[in-house]
Amino acid sequence: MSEQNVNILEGNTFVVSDRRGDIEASPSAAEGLFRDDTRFLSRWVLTVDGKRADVLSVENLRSDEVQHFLVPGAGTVYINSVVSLIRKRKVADGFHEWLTIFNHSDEERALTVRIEADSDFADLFEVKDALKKKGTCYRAVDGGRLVLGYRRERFNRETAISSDPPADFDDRGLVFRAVVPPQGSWTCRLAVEALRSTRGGSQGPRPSLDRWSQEAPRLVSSWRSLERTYERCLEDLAALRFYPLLVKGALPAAGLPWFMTVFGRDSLITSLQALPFTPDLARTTLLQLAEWQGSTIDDFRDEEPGKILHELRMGEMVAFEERPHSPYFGSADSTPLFLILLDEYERWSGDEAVVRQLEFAARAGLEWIDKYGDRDGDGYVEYERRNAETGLENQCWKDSWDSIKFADGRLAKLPRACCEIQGYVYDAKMRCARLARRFWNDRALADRLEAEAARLKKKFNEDFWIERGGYYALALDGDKKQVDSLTSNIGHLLWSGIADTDKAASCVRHLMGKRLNSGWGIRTMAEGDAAYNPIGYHVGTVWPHDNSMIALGLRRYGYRREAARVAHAMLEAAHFFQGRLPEAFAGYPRSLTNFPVEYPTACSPQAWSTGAPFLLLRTLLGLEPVEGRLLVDPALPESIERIELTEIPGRWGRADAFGLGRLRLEAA
Amino acid sequence: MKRLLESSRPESPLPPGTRDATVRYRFDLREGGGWILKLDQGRLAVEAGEGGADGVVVCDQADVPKLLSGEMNLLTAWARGDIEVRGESGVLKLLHTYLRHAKGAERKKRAA
Repeated sequence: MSEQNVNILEGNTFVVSDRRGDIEASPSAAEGLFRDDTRFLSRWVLTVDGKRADVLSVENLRSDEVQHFLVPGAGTVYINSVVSLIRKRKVADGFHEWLTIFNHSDEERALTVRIEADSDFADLFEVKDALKKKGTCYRAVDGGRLVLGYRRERFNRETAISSDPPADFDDRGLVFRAVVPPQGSWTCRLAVEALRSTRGGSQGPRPSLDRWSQEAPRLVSSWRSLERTYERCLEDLAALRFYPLLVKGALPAAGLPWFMTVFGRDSLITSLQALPFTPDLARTTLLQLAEWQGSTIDDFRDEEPGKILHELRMGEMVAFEERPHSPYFGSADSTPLFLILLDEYERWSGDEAVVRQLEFAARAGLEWIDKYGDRDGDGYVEYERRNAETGLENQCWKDSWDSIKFADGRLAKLPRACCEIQGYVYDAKMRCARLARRFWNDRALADRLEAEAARLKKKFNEDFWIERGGYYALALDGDKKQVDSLTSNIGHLLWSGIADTDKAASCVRHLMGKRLNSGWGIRTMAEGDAAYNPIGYHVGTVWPHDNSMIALGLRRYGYRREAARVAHAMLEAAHFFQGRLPEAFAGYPRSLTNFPVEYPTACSPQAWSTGAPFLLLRTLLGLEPVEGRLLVDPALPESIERIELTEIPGRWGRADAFGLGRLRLEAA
Repeated sequence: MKRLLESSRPESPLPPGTRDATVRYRFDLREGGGWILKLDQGRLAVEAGEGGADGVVVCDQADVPKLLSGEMNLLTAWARGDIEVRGESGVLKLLHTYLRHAKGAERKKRAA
């Protein structure tokens, strides 16, 4: 998304505009008012006496509210304007806009204020893939409202626009004759409602942003930038709470603008990252995903019994089954990640009831791993899509089509067994063994899972280890050959604990070395591999969530200094993004640029990037729940003098953590 | 109807939330008329009379066999507007989960 865009969001609704507040959607511009995967407004352009406005300033008051300061008429040289405008907008099942025009002269001004309004009712998939609509658009004036509508059979979506004072309507939109007194102002309130024909019971009231912030731990640090990042992330995470239709409760949507929906993997990882801060998010994520767990073999949806979903959408193309996301199950890692989160949630919260409630879902997930995940019985979870037409080719977190390549640039053959997924499976089985023994009264299952995990670890360390390089293969391809590119995935093997201790040191050298580490973070693929591209989506960019998981993995294996270095660099990068880390940024070496370079189409805010600073804080402070208590073992670099995190929720009630910067980090 | 409900019997174990639920749905046909469908302890049964209901499903008569056999996906039918639902959130989801486990559930297999 362009940095010229301004976006505000609240749960399932978001608005992307330009800096004037105007919306002018085009095949290449994802601007608009979006709700439930549909664009309800594709044009919303303000003119005063026929002139477009020029921007003085934009203030993002909160994640759901923005204020644009404007003057009418754009010119190359600024001439004192006697008229200025404030355009304030707030998202709420559509949006409300307050337009105030100021007259700074001594004479009354009669102005023609026009808002051009239109909607293409594009499905998000149609926007992404530039597809044409199959239904019919209409517009009508009804009871003082302008209604823009779309119908295809019984599928009906409408945008209702009303105003106070009432507007005149014409073919292009709304017109006001504003008379502004000398040194006075004129105000208009506009309401844009996104209406859908689909009704499905109310979700009840949503907790306010203020309450959300009040319940989170307090952070005080000598590093002001860290405090700002923390506040921004809390607010963004609150705004990204998504309320799926039909099932109660919120879970984090993946990211704006393309992924404002339920994603198994993203919601699970974000909930993991945020566990010490907002544990309730993990609870609802687990319950929601269990509700949608796979029940049958369905090739179209890549569904299998026990599998946790990949993505749930409710737009037109899904409704007419032209896309499989109702829900779609094309991810091979969401099921083990679900099991990992279930255990981790109990360790932090002590919520035994959820562990017991989800025993059925957990057992089904374990069965999926062995019966469907491991397609050929070789002990590894591998993937190849059932839906060859619209399914995802890559079903790991690096899900772009060209992400799994050999060091020489060749694409790996399917089915692919990615290394980090084996790590997740190992971790999931170890954790479920604990749950089986402690809560499910099934010692036999616990023993079996531990034995399987041990076998998997031994075999994995033989089959994936590349002796000559001193690192693990990215994957085994369809011929069981090692995919030998050097990637950030090896850091996930530390996070999950599947890496042998004697092999970890070499992996850490790679993770901290110049080929993988840009100085701002660990790249998805190492410089020097044929497919490496610093602005390639999964083949050279730096992903904050990836780095946050790797940093915790480094701590797990005792590499405190290295973990602190990764955490510190990423939090420094956050400073350049005003506390809002994007989905990914470019992998250029830090020595080349004084700032992290933006990746062109990155989502922002992105849930697991929003969650990354939380996990990095946990890593820096060494927070671990141990036998009902919160263990604090800080490892902070000297450059962060002090961090105080208080009121950390958990099974202990509330606890505080303090850390002083004592580690001297050598230059990256 | 008996044969229809037979085809909707689950072929795999239901999750506890669905298995243990007792929910009454009122089906209102757009052509007029309707009946009560009860999901109780993992079984669907038709009940006579009107009575209270936890949820109301409005649909065409022709779609009833497709819905109850699982041939028509309840979720996408709802998203298209082919069926309308009233009632507490989650009530339709229970029926959807039940029918996804049904013997005749809609499955789109890979072309041979």
